Amino acid sequence: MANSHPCFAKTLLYTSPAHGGWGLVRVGMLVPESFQLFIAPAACGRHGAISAYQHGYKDRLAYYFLEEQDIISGSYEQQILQAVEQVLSRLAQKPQAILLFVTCIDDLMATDLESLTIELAQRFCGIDFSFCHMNPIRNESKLPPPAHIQQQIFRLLKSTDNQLSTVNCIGNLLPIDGQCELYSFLHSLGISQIKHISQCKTYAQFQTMATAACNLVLSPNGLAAAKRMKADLGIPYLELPVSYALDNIDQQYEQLQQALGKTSSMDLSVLRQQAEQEIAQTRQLLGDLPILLDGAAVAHPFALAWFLYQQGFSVAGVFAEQPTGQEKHYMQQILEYCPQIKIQPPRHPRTMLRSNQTQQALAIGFEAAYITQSRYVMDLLNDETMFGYHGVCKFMKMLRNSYISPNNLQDLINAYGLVI
Amino acid sequence: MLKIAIYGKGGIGKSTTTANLSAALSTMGYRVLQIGCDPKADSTKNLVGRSIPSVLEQLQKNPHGLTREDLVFPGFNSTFCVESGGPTPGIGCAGRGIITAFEKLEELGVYETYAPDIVFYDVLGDVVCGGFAMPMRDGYADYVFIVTSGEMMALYAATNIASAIKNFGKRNYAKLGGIILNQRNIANEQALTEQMAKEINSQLIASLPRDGIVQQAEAQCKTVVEAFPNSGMAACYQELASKVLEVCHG
Repeated sequence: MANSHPCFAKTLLYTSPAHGGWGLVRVGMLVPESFQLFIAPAACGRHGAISAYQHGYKDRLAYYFLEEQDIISGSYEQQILQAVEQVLSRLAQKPQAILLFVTCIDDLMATDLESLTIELAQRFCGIDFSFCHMNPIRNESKLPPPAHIQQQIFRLLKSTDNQLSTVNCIGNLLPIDGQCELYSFLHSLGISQIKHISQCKTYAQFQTMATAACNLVLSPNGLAAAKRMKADLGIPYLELPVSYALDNIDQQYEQLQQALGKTSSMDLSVLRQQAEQEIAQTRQLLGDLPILLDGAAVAHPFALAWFLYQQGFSVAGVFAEQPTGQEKHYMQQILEYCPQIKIQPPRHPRTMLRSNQTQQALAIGFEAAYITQSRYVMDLLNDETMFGYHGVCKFMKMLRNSYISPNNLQDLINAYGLVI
Repeated sequence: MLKIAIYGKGGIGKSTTTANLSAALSTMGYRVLQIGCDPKADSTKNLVGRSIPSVLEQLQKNPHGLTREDLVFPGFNSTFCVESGGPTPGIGCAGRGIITAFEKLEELGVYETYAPDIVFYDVLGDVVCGGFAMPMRDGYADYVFIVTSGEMMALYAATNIASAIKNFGKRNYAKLGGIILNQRNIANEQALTEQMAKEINSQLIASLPRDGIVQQAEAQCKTVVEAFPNSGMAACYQELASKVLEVCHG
């Protein structure tokens, strides 16, 4: 069977009002005491500016608008230096780090950003600089913008000889739920602290992430950052993508023990049983209610669809872009064994034109809900806060709650601050 | 791994000189990789004996499944040849083409796999944009050599290239290794070129005579070093190869 599906053929794209996620500005703002300077044509700034305003970051962001003359004259690099100077002269408090965002234009100009970073650090002592790319032209590359920005924010970490018994969770944008068994499991393996960038209140605290014994990569967007941190800081990493499949979770805890070279005395079987009970309870409540899911809600929608199908849920559709890696395998399983599950890319114009108005269905994710106008919608994006058996239990509770107390999609979109 | 970029005005003989340098160094026992950075994609023609598909052409045909063997072709005496290629004349961005080609070569681990002792970047004409300056950046060429004749436009282009190298001096970019005179037999050619080299604080490292044997070799799609190994011109290229190594190794 082919790895691809005809629905993924290249075409015009439609972007629904429910499309999106954190956006690069919001991800970059995770760096405490940092400031962002966009060097871009005015039009490129719209999305980020609205997003920053909505999320209360407008005092940490500035724009230097490029004009045609700046681009053709070669004065661009010089202008970046001047723009930084201007920004610093106007800020009451000096930031610890400045993220400089360039756009697709820079991909054509080939500015030597590495050299410019060194020059900036020499000129503005005491401030760390990192260049980030808001360049959707690279969306299909091996380092698309959501992965590149994570790499660039963690490149701000400075090498240290200290290696402590801590681990970092990277890739995920919010920390794993505090009730998750991962914390106690890691403690049982001798790990004293589990760090996430969003929990660092100061830049100094953020820098302590450089002392970690290991990076746990919970989302594919964190992998490039992990590889870079291994090369630059010597921190090994372990890929533990958020999964809701119980056997996978078992394996992940095995992998963790192997990676840290210790064995845990913690009995996880009780937690697995709880997760199984939660699944059974949810299945009983939802019955044959069609379930639809999208690739913005979870990083691995095909794996989740396959798992839910195997657990007896009535999965009706997956709205996701062309899968890569292990996701291809799950898509093939779906195509082969449950062809009734519709697979559609959410931005294909026909996805909106088809009669997707299912109404009596439950959508996991805003985009699936918008496309199908489903009555029930589960409030989940980016697998936020999920991991392990606790993640499965939480996921199932959210599924049930979204059925028992239906959410209003527009309210959810507004509350989340999605910007088109 | 020694990385060298050859710059100069268009049509001045960069590719001929570079291909002969690659051939000469290969006969001295070095593993050489030559990367043509010209949208015309004809830098390595005389090393391979035919035109090879460029990285950009191959990328267009097969965006996600390229292998190293699709891009790197064997040339004379176990040299390795790559052409970055460029867009359709009149549209697109040639500079971006070079960047994309370089990124692809790195992604496929070409340098590590072929492990050349010497890499030549044969770069089109003048330094006109960031893409064409790529080969002189940190991580790419260690040294730049400029091919010129004694003609005013060629000398002007050479001065521009030297000025770009100087502008980037505080960065860890390539150093200017020297000037190679590819004679056109104009009046005072050697003196004019030496004067220019002096003005840009560089040195004339070789003066290649104008010799019809170069065209004879090209007519056979070969370098002089391959087609006429015992000729005086082949000896000139061998001497140039030794001189380039001497400059680079200090």
